[in-house]
Parts: sequence; C-alpha cells; structure tokens
Amino acid sequence: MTAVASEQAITTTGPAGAGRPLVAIADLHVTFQRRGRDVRALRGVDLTIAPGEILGVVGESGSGKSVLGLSMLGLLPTEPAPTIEGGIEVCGVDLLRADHDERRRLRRRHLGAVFQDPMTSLNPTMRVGRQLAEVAGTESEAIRLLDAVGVPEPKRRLRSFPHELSGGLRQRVMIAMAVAGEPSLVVADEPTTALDVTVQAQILELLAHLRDELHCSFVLVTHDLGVAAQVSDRIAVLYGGRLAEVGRASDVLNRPAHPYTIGLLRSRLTLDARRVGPLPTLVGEPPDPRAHPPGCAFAPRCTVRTDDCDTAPPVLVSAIRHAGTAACIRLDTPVAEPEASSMVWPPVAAEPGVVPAVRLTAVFKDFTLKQGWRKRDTLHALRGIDLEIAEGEAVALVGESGCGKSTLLRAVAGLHDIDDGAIALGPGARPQMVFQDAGASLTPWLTVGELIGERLRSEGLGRAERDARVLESLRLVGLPAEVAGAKAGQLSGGQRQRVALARATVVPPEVLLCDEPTSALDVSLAATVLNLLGRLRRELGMAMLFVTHDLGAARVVADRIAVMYQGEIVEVGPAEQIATAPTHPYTRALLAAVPGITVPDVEPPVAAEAAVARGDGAPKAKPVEPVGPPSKDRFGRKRRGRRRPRVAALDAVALAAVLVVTLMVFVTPWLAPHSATRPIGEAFLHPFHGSVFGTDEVGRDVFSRVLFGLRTSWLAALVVIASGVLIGGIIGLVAGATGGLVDNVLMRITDAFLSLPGPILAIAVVAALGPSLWHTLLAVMIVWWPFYARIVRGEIRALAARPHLEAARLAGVGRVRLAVRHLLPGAIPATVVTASLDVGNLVLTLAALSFLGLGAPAPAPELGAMAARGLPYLLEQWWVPIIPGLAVMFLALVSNLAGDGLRDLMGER
Amino acid sequence: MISFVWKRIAAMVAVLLVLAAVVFVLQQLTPTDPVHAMLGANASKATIAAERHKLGYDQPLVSQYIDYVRGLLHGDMKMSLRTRRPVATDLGRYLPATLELALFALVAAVLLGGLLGIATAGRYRGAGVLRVVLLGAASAPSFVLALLGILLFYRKLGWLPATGRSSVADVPSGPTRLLTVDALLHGRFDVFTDALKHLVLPGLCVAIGPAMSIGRVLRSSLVDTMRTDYVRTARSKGLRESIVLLRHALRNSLGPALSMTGLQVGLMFAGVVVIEQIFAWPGIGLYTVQSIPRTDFPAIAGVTLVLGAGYVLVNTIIDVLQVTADPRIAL
Repeated sequence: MTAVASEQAITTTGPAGAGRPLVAIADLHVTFQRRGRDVRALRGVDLTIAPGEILGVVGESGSGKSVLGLSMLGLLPTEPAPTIEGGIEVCGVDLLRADHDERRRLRRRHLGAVFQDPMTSLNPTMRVGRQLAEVAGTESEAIRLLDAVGVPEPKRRLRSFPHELSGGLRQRVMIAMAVAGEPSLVVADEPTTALDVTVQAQILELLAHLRDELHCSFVLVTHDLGVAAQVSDRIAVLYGGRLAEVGRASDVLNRPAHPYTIGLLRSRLTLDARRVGPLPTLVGEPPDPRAHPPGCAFAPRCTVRTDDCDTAPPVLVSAIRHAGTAACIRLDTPVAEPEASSMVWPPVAAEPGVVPAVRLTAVFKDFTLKQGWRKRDTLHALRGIDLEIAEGEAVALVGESGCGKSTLLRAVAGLHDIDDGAIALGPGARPQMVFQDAGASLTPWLTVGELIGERLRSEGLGRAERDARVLESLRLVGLPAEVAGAKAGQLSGGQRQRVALARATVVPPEVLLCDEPTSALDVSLAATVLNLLGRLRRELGMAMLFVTHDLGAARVVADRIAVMYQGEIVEVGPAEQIATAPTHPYTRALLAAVPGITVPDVEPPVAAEAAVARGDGAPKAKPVEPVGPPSKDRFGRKRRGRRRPRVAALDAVALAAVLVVTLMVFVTPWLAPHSATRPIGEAFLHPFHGSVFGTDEVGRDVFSRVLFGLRTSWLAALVVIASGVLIGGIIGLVAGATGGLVDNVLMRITDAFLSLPGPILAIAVVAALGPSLWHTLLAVMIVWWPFYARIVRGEIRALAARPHLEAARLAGVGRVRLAVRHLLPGAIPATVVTASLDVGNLVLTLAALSFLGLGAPAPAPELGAMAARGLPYLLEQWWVPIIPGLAVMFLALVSNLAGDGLRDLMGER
Repeated sequence: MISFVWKRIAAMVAVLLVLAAVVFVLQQLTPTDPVHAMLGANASKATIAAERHKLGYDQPLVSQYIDYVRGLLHGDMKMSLRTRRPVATDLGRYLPATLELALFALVAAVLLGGLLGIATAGRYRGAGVLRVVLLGAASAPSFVLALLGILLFYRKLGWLPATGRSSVADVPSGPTRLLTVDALLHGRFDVFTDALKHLVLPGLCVAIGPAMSIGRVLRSSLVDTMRTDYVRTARSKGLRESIVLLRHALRNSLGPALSMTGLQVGLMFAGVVVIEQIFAWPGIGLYTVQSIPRTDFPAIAGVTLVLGAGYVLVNTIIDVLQVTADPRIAL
C-alpha cells in the first residue's frame, strides 16, 4: 500500500455509511505522580474505534493498556489525579472537558465495564440480583440477562452472593452487568486472566456472541495475543505507553510489521515452538514507565535499530506489509529470524540402576477444612500419586486450578506432610523451590547478597569465599554484581525471578521445584526465563519438577509431562507426545482450549476504500518530528493533577513538637522559675500579675507546676508504652512464631485481659494497692500490654503465611534466625505506628486517673490532679483548673499529630 | 448460628468468672482490713477476730472465692465500708442515673461518629480542616471539655445547667427510673425537656472522645473500601457517588467501626466516672469517686463487676452482630 493511498485512507471521521467513530482518541498523554516521580503511562496515543467492532488492545507490563481502558471509561483514579493531555471523545462526549456528573451519565447510558478479578469486582455482601438490578432495572430483566450470558438457573442465582459462584459464573454476571444498559461500548480489562483455560474460551465466545446480538463495540485489553486473536476484529499493540502497531487481526498476526510484534509472536510458546534447544527470545525487558528512553521505547531491544531510532518516538505510519499502521522508521527492513541457536540439547531419560531424584509412591494428602473446632469438610488434594523423576530429568505437572499440583510440589519440598505413601529423595542436596511470585519469596528488608548467602551458611565457608560464590551464582543467572547490594523492592519482576533462581541454585539441589515460574511474567520474558531454566538444569545437573497450567511452556521445558486432574495423575508421557497427541479426554480438552493464533489469513482488501470505511489508525500520518510541546489539535485540552507533598507541614511541626517536649523532660528544672514543691506563696494571683499563668489555689506558680506536670505525664506515658510494647511484643512474637498450643494459650490469656474493661480495671487495681504514681503506672501497664501482644502476633501470623518465610525455611535458615531476621523486622512498622498513635490515648487515660485522685498524692504536680483540685474555683478563678487541663490537651494533640505523621511517613514507604 | 451464639455466651461467662477472680485477688491485696475498717479503729482484736470468723474471712482462699461467686449470683456484693449499706443496694440506687447518661452518650457517640466518618471520607470541601478540628477534639481530655463547656454554656450563655439531673421539684419515679423515659411515659414534657437539658452537657462530654475514635476508624475503613475493585465496578455502572458510598461502601466498612464502638464503651466508663464528678451527677461514677479516698474496696469491687459485666455483654452482642452481618461467614 503506497504512502499516498494510506494518507487518504486515514481520517478522523469515516464516510457517512459507517458513521462517526464511537471513540476518538487524539495524542493522549496520561502521567501519574508516584513518590515524587513522573510515571508516564500513556505517551501520545491516537486511536479510533468504530461502532460494533471488537478491538484487542495487547500490551505487556508498563505498556499502559489498562490506563487506556480506564481512560475510555472516564474512570482514572482521582487520588492522586493524573495529568491528562490530548483529546479523548467517547460517544460524542469530550471526557476531558466533561465534569464528574457528565461522565457518570455517559457511563450509565453508553458504557459497560468488565474487570479482571470477578471475586473482588463484585460487592461481597450484596446479592447478585440486587447488583444486577442496579443497571438492569427490573428483576425480570435481570433474569433475562443472566440467561443471555449463560448462567444456569437464573432465578435462583439472583439470590446468591458472589462467593457462592464459581469464577466463570462470576465473570458472566459481570458481563451481564456490563451489557445490561445496552451500552455502545464495553471495555473488558483482562476478563479471562483469572480464569482457567477451558472457561476462558467460553467467556471469549460469549463476548463475540454478545457483540453480534447487541452491535456494541468491545475493547478487549489483554497481555495475551492468543486471547486477542480469538475474537478481535482489529488489534492494537501497545508498548511503552505508545501504539506500536494497529491493524486487522489477521494482518497483525500473520503479517506483523513492527519489530516488537514480530518478536512477541515469535516468542510465544505455541505448541510447535522449538524444544530441542533454546527458544528465540526478545532480549531485555519492557521499559520502566518512570524512565523511558528518549527515542523509540523498543529500540534497546530491537535487532534492526539505527541511531535515528533514538532521537524521537516514531509516529504511526502506514504498515507496509498490511493495511494498518505501525510506529517504526525501519519498516522496510525485514526482521531476520533469529539465528537458530546451534545448541541442541540432548534428551534426558531415566538410566536404569541410578537412584531417581524423586520417587513418589501412592501419596495421599487430605486437607480438613475446620470451622473453629469442628471438622466441616475434607478436601482430597492428592489421591494416590505415583511418579518418578530420574536424575537430571525435567517433568512438568500440568493441570488447572484445584487439581493438586501445587500441593504435590510443596509436599516434595517438605512444606506439607503427607498422610499416606512415601516420598523418597535422591542423595543430593535438599530440594529448592522457585515460587510463582518471586518478589514475595524474597524477604523485603534483606539484601540479595544476604539472602543468597544464607544458603551457604552451613557450608562452612569463609566470608570472602561466600561472597565469591554469591557473585558467581548471580553471574550464572545473568545478573550484574551490583544486584547483590540491592533489596527485592528495587528490582524489576524479571530480575527478582533471577535472584530467586540464583538463591535456589547457589548450592545446586538434587531437584529444582518450580511453581508456575512464568505465569507472573510478561510473555516476552517468559521465553528468556525458560531458556535460563533449561540451561541451568543441564549445567548443574539438576532434576526439575515444574508446575504449570500452560501446556505450551510445559512442552518446551520438560522431558516428560504429567497431567493432573482432581488429585490424580491421569496421563504421563514424553512431552512432545502429550502435547500434540494425547489420549486421555481431559488432556485433549486442555489442548483444545489453548488459544492458538490460527486466524485465517485474509488477502489485503483492495484498498483505500475499505481502510477508510474502518477508519484505521491515526488521524494524520505525520513524518517524524522532533519532540516538542504537545500539539494543540482540535481539543487541545489539558487537565492537571495535584502533586501531594510527602509529609504534611502540620505533621512535621508535630514531630518537632514531640522532640521539644522530650527534650524538655531533661531541662525543666532550668526552665521553671519555681520548683513545683516550693513553699506556698500568695493564693490566686491572676495570670501575668505575678507569674506567667497565675497561681493555683495554694499560691504556687501554675506555669512551673504545669511544666513539671508535663514532664511527669510524658515520662509516665513513655514508660507505660515502652513496657507495654516490650511485654506485649515478646508475648506476641512467641505466640506468633511458635503457633499451636503455646499460641492458643497465650492468646486466650490475652483475650481475657482484652475482654475486661481496661480503665475500670485500672481504677480497681490502683484502689486496691493504694494511690501512688507507680501503682497507677503498674495498673495501666497491666491493662495496656495485651493490646500490643495482639498486634504483634497478628503481624507475625500474617508474615508467617507469606512465601518469603517458606522460602527462607527451605533455604535452611534456623528457627531463631528465621524469627529474628525474617519475621520481626516486618512486625516493627505496624507496632511503631500503633504505639505512636497510642501515646495520645495513654496521656488522656493517665490524666483521667490522676483526676480521680488515683495518681501521686498532693502536692505532686500531676496535671489531672491539679485540675481536680482546682474544680471548686472554676467559676471565679478559671485558670486554676483550666490551664492544667489545656496542658494535657496539648500533649495529647501533639502526640496524635506526630503519630499520624509517622503513620503517613511509614505508609508511603 | 445458634451454636455460635452459645459459644459466645459461654465465653462471656468465662470472662465474668475471670473478672470476679481478679477482683477477688485484688481484694486480698488491699492494705486495709475491711473488717477492721467496718468495726472502727477502736475495736478490740477479739471483736475483729470474731467478726472475721462470722463473715467467713478465715476460710481457705478457694472456698472464699466460691462463696464469693455464689454470693454474686444472688446479688450479694458485701457491705460498703463507707455507707454501711449493702453495695448492691447502693448500686441499685445510683445505677439508673449512670445508665441514662451512658445510653445518651452512646447514641450520641455513634450518631456523631457515623456522621463524621462519612463526611470526612467523601471528598467534600473542607474535609481537611474538619480532620484537624476533629483531631483537636479527640485530643482533649473529657474533663477539659466539661470545664470549658460549663464556662461557656452555663456561666457565659446560661443555656444549660451545670449540676445534677433535674431542676424540677416533683419528678416521677416511674418504672424505668430513667428520667427522660419516665417523663414521657407520664406525659410530663416539662420534666422531659428539663432532664434533656441536664443530659446534654455531660452526655456530649462523655461522647466526644468515643465519637472521634469511631469516626476515625469509620473514615479509614471507608477510604479503604472506596478503593476496592467492586466500588470501581459500581462507579463504572454510572451510579451517583452518594449511592456508591452509602449503598456499596458503607455496609462493608462497618466491621472495624463496630469493633471500635465496643471498645469505646469500655473507655466511656472511665469518662463517665470523671464527668459525674464534675457535674455532680448522682450516678455510679460519683459513688466510685467518693469511695476512692476512703479505700472502700467492696464498693469499688461492686462497681467494677457491674460495669465489667455490662462491657462484656455489649461486646458479645457486637460480636454476634458482626458475624451475622457478613454473609461470607457460613455458620
């Protein structure tokens, strides 16, 4: 297609016949502020959507696809609000100029949305029927809709709650809600990602079917080209916040133009991907939205890049190979097939006579779901598993969610006990696991070097040798040495995955256990990780047990595949055979559901008219321009977001005040002109007539007494808090870390204390022991510690369930070190925040107790007692009781503000 | 469901026994011998010993405890050292006043806290300023608020009274002994309005602290809920923001606020004791305050038990309410 024809083809409004485009996006920029840095989610997107078409928006992490979908709905987050520039018009409404109400009405009348996770996207405490009726209007309409989306027994389902439905049914309900108002446009953001493969196919079919019936447009946002391929009419590929390629589905998939699309298609794990050697991969990772390269975002990874590519991001021009558009200046250069790596990996098979790495014999495992004490249900997770993994062999366990594959993996790792049968491991090092969420398996506050080094502790190596081994393991997984000093949060997803691998292999285990290692990664990264796994296991001679739901990945990585269904292995055999010609009906169903990209190739249509009819691509084909200020097209609108300061000024002042008060504790005798217990002077001197705040009922200087009182209150509060945190913290740590009977007993005691009314008990204790400052402190301490025991224990329990603790246990870390280095630091922030918020409460409680006469006896300067003794003088000499009271208020206010500030500060981190 | 309620009741009984045990132990720790104090300073050793034997103070501790609990079940809380009357009688006289004050304060706290939580969670104008004002109010000790309230509303403006429950001469001593309710039942609106006027200042002083805490927890919970996916779904349906907040978000945010309410009831008791002293409100709090300097431990023990039982009861009810409100918990 010539350049001239393409210029004629692309206009903003189509010909009369096709009508105006439903969605017209012009040079859209969306920028968020995160921790003071700009996150540029969209950097100039031009797109139109015609009525009645299904547009697939495909992109990886950082591509901005979700932001694009939310922009079309007018649902971008408002706190903090992003900066939006450019133009976006949906169903005739200018979304940037429209106010909140206009956008809401637009959503009500013309738009629908389906989100990724139907469990969290439906109100858990509201019945399905009621949620549906909000858009459908009447109950009969709701029933009709449920029927239309294929929910069986719709009338009964109206009364169900979301948690009573399966994942697929919940998503159907969401789709029903989305199409209820007969919208013109439905945006579906990863609607099938959280679902099993078999259900996924059905949902996609449903979307296509609804489009045919209702003639609405669909925007299908997804990271999976296969999903987009199944139902899309057109596909738009996003990369680094800009469009890389737009065109008809068949064109983009069969004749891709942009080097990124080409690379993406090639690194897909289809069922005919190469498996006897490393896969072709895209090197590198998608760009960080906080730091884009100045030119084309894909240039760092592109095989046909030139220096011109780095000057400015390319604009969409006619894609030479098909009728759509692509943003690249090198479209005329063919992207060569990556050199088929000459490396050929020899197949691995069991050698007779050699002890297998893992042998499972008749393994059974049940989970009992308990309700308090009573047994409610038994879940038969593993029902007689027999499997053998030879030394150096890779076996993939394939199955859908709930089949028991993860349980089996964890049983081999030693994280679960089994109820029956035997797991025999070979003579080598203990099995190591690579978790699905690699980031969560790395303890956030330890450095990479420390984490990897922990595995070497039992090897008896010197410090220098340990460091050398750590660096070596990093090199093996392709990470630079600097990573050793970084913490998990500073690394990207792909890097974290590699660190987890390095930790697992620094002392190569007999068998490496992988739990869905690629499902959390971008498609372009998955192939790289699989190559890495393949190479590592051959170099280090490890066997591998690899759990996945993806048959394609299984086929590429494994020598043999075992298919699991409901706790049993239904089929096992050589990988190629299982993946292409299985015998068991379940495996065949799995195979059929794998989204392939077999979209029938359509000859490029005669031309210009057809392209005009669809309104393909960008409004204008401009030659590459240097980046300048955003162009003012027909909208030229800009909406600014607010920049939130990191710590509010008020909180900073409060923190400063706290420091001052603490300092005052030491300098009070120098500050106060008169001692609190100095002999009596003249009673009732008015403020400023003899002393700063006046004199109290016995003629002592109120100012100095208040200062001493503040000192006493502050010290008392700090003492009680410190001891409460210490006692409660220790009990909480022991309970949380130990679990079982000790935990139970300690928590029962704590709960008993918590169930009693604290202040009343404190009064009773002090009344029993006799009024004095120390008795009051003791009484309050007795009442306060259970609170902290609960918090610390709660935090520890939450942490104990996190993967990084399991990972540390697997790495061979001892119990004490586990508790101190991997658990405790995680509980500290919450405890500190609670304590800081609690000081204010404590000050008030102590003041109330001393008001009642339960503190130190007179003439000790306790603020509450001063206020109480001044009560009779309230109406005439008001300052006598009021000023001590205001001092208490000042102390509590400063503590509360500082606590809030501390919480905000720690929350931001 | 029923079994859950039974379990909670059993837990409640256990806690009450623990409370009785704690009070009992504390009693043993008091430096003053209750019998000596009762008979007076001049009593001879023999008289004291005889009295001790009569009252059963020389029995082993465990049987004393059992007798004590049995006595409690019959409503026997020993004799007050100060008033020389059975503690139970004293409590019976003073309890209704405190009950009325506490109920008024609880209702006020919940209403105020609820309004504050919702108002500050929505993005209404001036929410930031409101937050600071609330923080200030939450940091004020209740006696400061009471004193300032008296200075302003009584001394300066003369709108509200500063002491007691009622300024009307003949008050109906009706069925409930709650002045407001009795007044309504007897149709005496002058008594009703007068009683309310007396209730406002002390009641609000007790209520503000808890109201702030409830409001803060509700706000934080609402803000979290407004960020969830299902609220995003509700917005995507084009529902008005007020409907999203009230119909979708509120119900799912109540849990922590309910728990906080239960907690605050306990803290309110301490507030009540302080406030009753300031306003000379003839309730249990005043009774306690008068008992403290005289180390009248039986009286304090009685107060602790009654208020403690009330606290435990309220929290059990709240626990049951919370669980029944969440359809995800299958009982």
